[in-house]
Amino acid sequence: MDMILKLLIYTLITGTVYCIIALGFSLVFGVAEILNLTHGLYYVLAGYLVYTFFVLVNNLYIAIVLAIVGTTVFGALTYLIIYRVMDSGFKVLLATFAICGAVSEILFMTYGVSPIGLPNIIDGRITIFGVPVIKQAVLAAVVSLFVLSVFIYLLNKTDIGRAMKAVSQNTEIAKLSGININRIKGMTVIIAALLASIAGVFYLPLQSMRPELWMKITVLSFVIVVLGGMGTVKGVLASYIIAFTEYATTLAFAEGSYVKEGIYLLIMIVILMFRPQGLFGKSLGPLEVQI
Amino acid sequence: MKENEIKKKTLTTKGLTKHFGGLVAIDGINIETEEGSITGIIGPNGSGKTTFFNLITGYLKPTNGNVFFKGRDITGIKPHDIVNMGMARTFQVPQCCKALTVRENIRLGCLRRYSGEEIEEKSRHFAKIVGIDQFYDVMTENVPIGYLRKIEIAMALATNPKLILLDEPFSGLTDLECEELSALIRELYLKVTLIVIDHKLKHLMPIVERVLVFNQGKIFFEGLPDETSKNPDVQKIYIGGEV
Amino acid sequence: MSYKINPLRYLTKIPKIWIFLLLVQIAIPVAINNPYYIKIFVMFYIYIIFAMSWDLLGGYLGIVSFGHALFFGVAAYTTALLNVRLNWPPIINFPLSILCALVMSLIVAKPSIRLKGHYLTLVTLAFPIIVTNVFFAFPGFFGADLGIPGISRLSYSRVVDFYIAFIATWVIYFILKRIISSDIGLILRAIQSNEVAPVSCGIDIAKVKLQMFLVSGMFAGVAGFLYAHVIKIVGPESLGMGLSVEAVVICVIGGIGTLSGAVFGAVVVTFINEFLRIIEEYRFLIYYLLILLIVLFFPKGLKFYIDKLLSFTGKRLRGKGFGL
Repeated sequence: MDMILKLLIYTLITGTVYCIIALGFSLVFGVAEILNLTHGLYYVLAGYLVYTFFVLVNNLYIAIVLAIVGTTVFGALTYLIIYRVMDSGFKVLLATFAICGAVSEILFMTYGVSPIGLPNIIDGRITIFGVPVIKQAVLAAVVSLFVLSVFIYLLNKTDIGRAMKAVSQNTEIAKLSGININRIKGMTVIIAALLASIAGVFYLPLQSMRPELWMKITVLSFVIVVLGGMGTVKGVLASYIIAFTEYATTLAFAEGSYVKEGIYLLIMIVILMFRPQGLFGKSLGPLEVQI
Repeated sequence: MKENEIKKKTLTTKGLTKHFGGLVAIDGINIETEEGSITGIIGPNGSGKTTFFNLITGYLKPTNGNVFFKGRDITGIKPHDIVNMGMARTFQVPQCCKALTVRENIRLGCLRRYSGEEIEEKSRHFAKIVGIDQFYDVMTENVPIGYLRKIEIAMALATNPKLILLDEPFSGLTDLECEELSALIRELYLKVTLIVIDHKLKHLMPIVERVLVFNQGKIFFEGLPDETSKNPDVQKIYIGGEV
Repeated sequence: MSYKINPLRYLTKIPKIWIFLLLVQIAIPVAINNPYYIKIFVMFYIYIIFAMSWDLLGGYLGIVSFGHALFFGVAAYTTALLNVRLNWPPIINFPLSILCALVMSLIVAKPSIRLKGHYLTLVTLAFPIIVTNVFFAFPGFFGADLGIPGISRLSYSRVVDFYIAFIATWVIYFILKRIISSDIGLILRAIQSNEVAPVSCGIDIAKVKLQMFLVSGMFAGVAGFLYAHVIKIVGPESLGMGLSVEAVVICVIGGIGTLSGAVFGAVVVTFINEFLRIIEEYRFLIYYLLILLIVLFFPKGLKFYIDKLLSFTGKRLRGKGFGL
């Protein structure tokens, strides 16, 4: 029982943070149809920026704000590059990979190869239903939930949000309605960077922060979007499923923590084998040859 | 239908049904096609004509029912295997490889039937039959759209089919091009079995022996071209259209 | 079905420049006495084989894999484990390495064949991660981060290593060239252009894709096997995304979908890598920035733009211009 409670609480917390990481990715992938490998980098970079600014200004709160702003600006810069190669998904992959590699190298050179621990915003633990939880984790989950709600509201109620929905459904018609497609695509990338940086800033104190983490986060986001689709509700569910899988795997075997990524990747591959369009994608028409 | 009767017909469907979620696209279709015959299929948009073709050719799995080709139950068999059994088809949008030359496209069609030096001969031969040999070595993406359908037909002929399904072959063609195509179809008549979907009744009716009228996934009417054109119910389902 | 072309007739068509270049390569170990430089050449051949194997899948068939190093690394680890733990010699390990690479290809091919676009990319990215996860779960056996050191040499001398790699490279090149010049090559290009067309022609595209996956994976495995015995230590980077992307970059530089492009690209990349060793600290950073530069400004491959430039002067670089 104890184990189950632990599993539940941890899943809820981590899953909520994953929600906003994946939401950004799903916007970029679903609306702009871009597979942006730098997504995970936004998350990691935010953490390193907090560290940098904290060392400079000695105020954690200011450092966090600066880090989020800085990463969002970085996101805009990456869009400038992505924009130039958007005509080919292949080129986007190479370009974004190169950006990740280059920035990782800069981080390695500046901070060395050892993982860095970010300071908690709130120290200490609390007990939820008898399960000890680090306060920072709860903070991360609460902030994520708040941000998630705000963004879902904005997506549905603002013009930009509706424009994004239009673009994700039919680019041609959206263009005809006067929507500036490239501007919308740029917005999704910037929003993705913003959301990922918020997640990073609050959740990285709980992880060991290394530059290579970018790859893990990008893949994580991609898997959640494949399993959860582009709509926000199902994506939310998928985030929790992935978080659950990770914790369950870690608790189940001794080597669990090493293979938790592999497990959810395997699950995803099996699902794709039976539904090549993902769990919630559109069914392929007969002209998409099914073999 | 008795066993040996099924064998005489080139194509037979029994209770062919296809549901897409809640939508019934094809509802219990039973048809028989005699060898060497030429059948026309008409019907308003969305009546299930192309879906019917997709079911027969293996691109879609039926929810219910069976398809028999040359007496053999081909329900559930993969599309390429069905092609190799002798059924070829064309699509509403011609499916050629834009990155290949016309010659290479037709060659692709020959690969499973011929070998060695014969392939080149046959490719030229089919290109000539359909009338695209002037573009023989041109990259298909540079070929005028009107000729893409001819390339597709050449590719289909190259597979040496017993049954050819043509999906709206006349669409997008000028009257003159339609005449050329009709002539080509007439030449094939009796050598292969043909089923042709189209909306251009002016060109379709003169070349077919009988007409199946599709409506809402069912065969609404079946008859000779003349009686089909004159039938008031058939005229009605083509809202506003002239039959 | 056989799509044979007469190999003898083919041989007489080799332009003189290639015979000259082949002779030059044969002379290299004789002319250069430095074992370090000879090793660089061997690595160069390993990269060519690896890149060519990727190009078959990515350039001709259109299945762009960002996890091709998996087959390379699996073969490398197989021979490393057999060699270091059981003391088996390279010659015995070779068929087993290739077998493991083939099995891995089969496993990856199954889901990959049905997928397109970004989902396909994800699956090709996912498999190496899964395998790496497994390796790290058993650090004692697989050597964790450090990997498996102490692998024995390929042969008793660097020079012999060179000739083994040299022969392997051009044999594989010849085989691949034969495949892509034949009707199978036509089918590959057709599949990449419009999958429905070959299906309409009765071709089993799933089978073709599977076969190409196996061939591609097998040759990547050859490269991995050679790598293990030349570098003599194998770590998780040998299945990593960095190496996978390197194959892609090599092919992009040389022009995707041209086999000789892989050769050109490998020359450029090896050259740049060695050149950058001078500024060891910034080597990777510059490498990534160069990739970015190439994707932004030379997406058709360096070779394409250089060819264009040189065609003004009536010259052509070796490769497509010489009909090989």
